[in-house]
Amino acid sequence: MPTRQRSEQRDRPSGTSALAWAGVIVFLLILLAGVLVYIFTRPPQSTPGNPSVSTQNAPAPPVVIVSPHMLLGNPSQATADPSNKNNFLMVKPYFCLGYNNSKGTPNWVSWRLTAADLGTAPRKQTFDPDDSLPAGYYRVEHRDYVRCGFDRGHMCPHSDRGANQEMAFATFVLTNIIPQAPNVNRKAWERLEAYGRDLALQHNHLYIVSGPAGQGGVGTDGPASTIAGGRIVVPAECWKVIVVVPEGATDDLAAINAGTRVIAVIMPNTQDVGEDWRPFLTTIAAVEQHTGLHLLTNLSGEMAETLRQKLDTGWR
Amino acid sequence: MELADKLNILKAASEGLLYPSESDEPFKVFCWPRETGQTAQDAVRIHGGAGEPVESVPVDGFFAALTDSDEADRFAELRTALEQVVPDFVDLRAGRINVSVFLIGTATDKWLGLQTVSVET
Repeated sequence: MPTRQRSEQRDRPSGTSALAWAGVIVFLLILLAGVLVYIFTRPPQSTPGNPSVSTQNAPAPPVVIVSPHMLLGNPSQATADPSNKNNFLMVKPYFCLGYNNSKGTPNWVSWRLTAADLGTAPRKQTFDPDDSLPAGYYRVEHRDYVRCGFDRGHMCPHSDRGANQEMAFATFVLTNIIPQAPNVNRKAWERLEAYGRDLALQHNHLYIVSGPAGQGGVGTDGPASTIAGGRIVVPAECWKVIVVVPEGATDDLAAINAGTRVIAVIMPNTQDVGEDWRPFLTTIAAVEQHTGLHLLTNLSGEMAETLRQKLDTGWR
Repeated sequence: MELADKLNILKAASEGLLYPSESDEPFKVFCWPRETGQTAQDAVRIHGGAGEPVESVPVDGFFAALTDSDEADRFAELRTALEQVVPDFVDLRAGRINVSVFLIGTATDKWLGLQTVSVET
């Protein structure tokens, strides 16, 4: 057993080496304590992908930017948990949305619009079910809107994503669609969409959130509260909020201030709507009150409150 | 083939068929007089109420966009019917938002084809 004896001798510390080991352990503990103190006492860091927001009175928790298309926040605190069927967060490459499986529509769709997004990419004629919905969700299909008296109304419109075919086709997914009265879709709503694109071409970045509200609209076949055998809720109103940030800021969120232009509209989902979107101007506060959503959660409280109360006059 | 037979073929092929877009719109068969030297663009302006500009787009693109439609088989039959009745047919489009779509060709002294609408906002 010579080998074992040698091993036992090696494993048995002498008085001197035990002291050395104790010294090393104490040193490591001091080092670890220092690192922990640094981690828990350093100020919050700001990075381009995860900027922090400060307020005058107290440091706010760091703002997490899930996507550039959700710069303003997560209006319903939607989550990507499949069991959250009526407030399901879908972060897509070209827009984000909170989906409502019971309604067969988004609760809201949020996207950034810049001049780089614009172009003349082709359209699709047919609309696509959203294959990225979890199992157990109803996937709305093109046929669910056939002969229903309402248009397949884009929230993030095709023309806001015309830079290439992939972007343009992505808008034809039915989780981006609500039943819109034809005179809304083809008139005032379309005019406001076009106005937004004009602003983008005039060197602005637009942060847009839109969606349905309430239940019961009027299409070409008269009033309806649902279509597709009850699977899709027809909204009573369509709303949209646009925050206009001039180009040139390194951080668009930080560039938003009390003077920033905001446009908010609520349109009835009926055939009474004409070409002009300006009669439907309102405040973000009114949209929030109407929908129960919180549209500016990534902005500081005081400034967000100022923006919520603004009624746009920038079109004059 | 008599003109009435041609019209019947187009009518049967498009009956109940809807052209998909943001809305779903029926097809209407048309038969318009054809003057000497008149182009198909002239015809849709004069008879089809099309404003300027009238754009010509590839016929292949019209049908390629419908291959994932629930009615893909019927659209394939519609193409066969058009090729039988008006082999020189083209796809002309005019307007914006409520875009007028004409599948139009010649039949002796007539312009013959189908008209529908594509809603594009």
